[in-house]
Amino acid sequence: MTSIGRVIDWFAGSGNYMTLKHCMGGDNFWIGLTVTLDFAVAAGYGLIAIHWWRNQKLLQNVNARRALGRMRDIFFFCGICGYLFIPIKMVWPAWRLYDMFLAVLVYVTWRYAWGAKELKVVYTELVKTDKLEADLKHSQEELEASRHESRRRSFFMNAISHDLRTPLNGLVLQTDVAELSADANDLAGLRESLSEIKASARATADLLNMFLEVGRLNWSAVPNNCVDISVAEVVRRVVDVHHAFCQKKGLTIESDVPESLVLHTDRVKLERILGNLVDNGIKFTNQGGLVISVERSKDRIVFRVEDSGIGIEPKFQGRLFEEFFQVHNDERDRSKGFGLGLPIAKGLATQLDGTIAVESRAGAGSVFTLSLPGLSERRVPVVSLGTGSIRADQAAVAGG
Amino acid sequence: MVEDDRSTVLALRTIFSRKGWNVTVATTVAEAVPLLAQEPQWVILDLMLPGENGDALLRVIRAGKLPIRVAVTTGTEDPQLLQTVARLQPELLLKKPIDLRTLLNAMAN
Repeated sequence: MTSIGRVIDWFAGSGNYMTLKHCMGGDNFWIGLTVTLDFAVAAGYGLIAIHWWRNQKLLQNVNARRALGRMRDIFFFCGICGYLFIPIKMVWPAWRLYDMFLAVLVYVTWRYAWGAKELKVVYTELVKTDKLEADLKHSQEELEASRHESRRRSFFMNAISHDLRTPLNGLVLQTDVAELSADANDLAGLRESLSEIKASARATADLLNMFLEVGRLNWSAVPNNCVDISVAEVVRRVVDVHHAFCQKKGLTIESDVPESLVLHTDRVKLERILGNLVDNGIKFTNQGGLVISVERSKDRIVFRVEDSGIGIEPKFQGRLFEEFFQVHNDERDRSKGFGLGLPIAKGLATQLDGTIAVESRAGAGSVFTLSLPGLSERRVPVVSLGTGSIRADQAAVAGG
Repeated sequence: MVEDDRSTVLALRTIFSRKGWNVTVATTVAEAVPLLAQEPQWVILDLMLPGENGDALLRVIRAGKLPIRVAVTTGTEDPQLLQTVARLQPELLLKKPIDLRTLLNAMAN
């Protein structure tokens, strides 16, 4: 017979199978031992399964549960592979050989099953380690936050110190000059010193006002005095107030606002926010100008203050609304402000349930976007009364 | 005098001039460095200046072993910057607002 024929015969079967009696005859002891060992292996697997089930129930830790899940998969695979040998035993009853393998398997399985009691301990330790790692990470984050806060406070103190001491220095020195001038009967010199004293005192007072405003924003909020206001009118006022400053720098300032928009909000706070945004834009723009535009977005009104200024690098944009933070003003040149305008604007916007965002690229100008709720569907004309405003119907009632 | 605050410059210039001292003013370190060639007796140096901080000028003076005495005036509370300056050993380190008598006494001696 050819080798191919033998292979076909092997698969097809010759019909001369070993009978069970013949197969088991004379090997009863070894067969009994095989069955016993099989049961022992199965019992070991059962014990492991019980430990696994208990641990699985007890463990809350996701990683540990995942590890146990992987272990379960491995045992299923091993079990299936082991019992695949059963058909082989039917055709090749090498009991003594199987017994030898099974004895090793029983030893390994029970050793593991016995040790599996310790799984709980192992995974409890794992959970503890995970918890410790999480605690450590949390502590590191807290430490970093604390360092950041400390740096911020230090920066804050340094800025206050410098910004207050500089005009005070001028003030004190000018009083010395005034004394010298008075002693020398130099009236012109005395007048010049007094003028400088006045300017320095005013600068110090302005700064103190800014500090107080920041303090008020941080510690207590002035209640909103919301009324229906004409958005176009508010923007016009802001443009008018800043027109002279723009002209002085050779800049243009334009607005694009639909006349019909009416917003229910605190007028004074809105004017302050827009004023600070415009003021900031003018300070950091050397050519071109500013455009204030307003549009409706669902039930909100979005103000955009766009400038053609020096722009802000992305790395600084996250810090723009921190008190005293100024880009490219490490020397704290007072003509570029104190770094308080934007934080004040943001604080006031928050009080009005609004948001402020910035988009900018270095050298390509900036766009500050103020989004406020309170879009009013009313089209009632708004009457301006000095710094406040009331609606025409209220004016009629007030006027009797 | 290296100082960028106008009011301080005006006051000190007047005071020094009345004492008959010649005063040259720079507002940045870059402006001040060439003026060192004039070999001033004293440099009144502000720390927080546009561009480089004032300690850069003090470093130039110390590195060149120039016979110039330096009075640093500052409004900063930055401990790192103050330590850096202290290591460069200026003749005077005054916090703003400065005590004029202390400055004038030191300069007169």
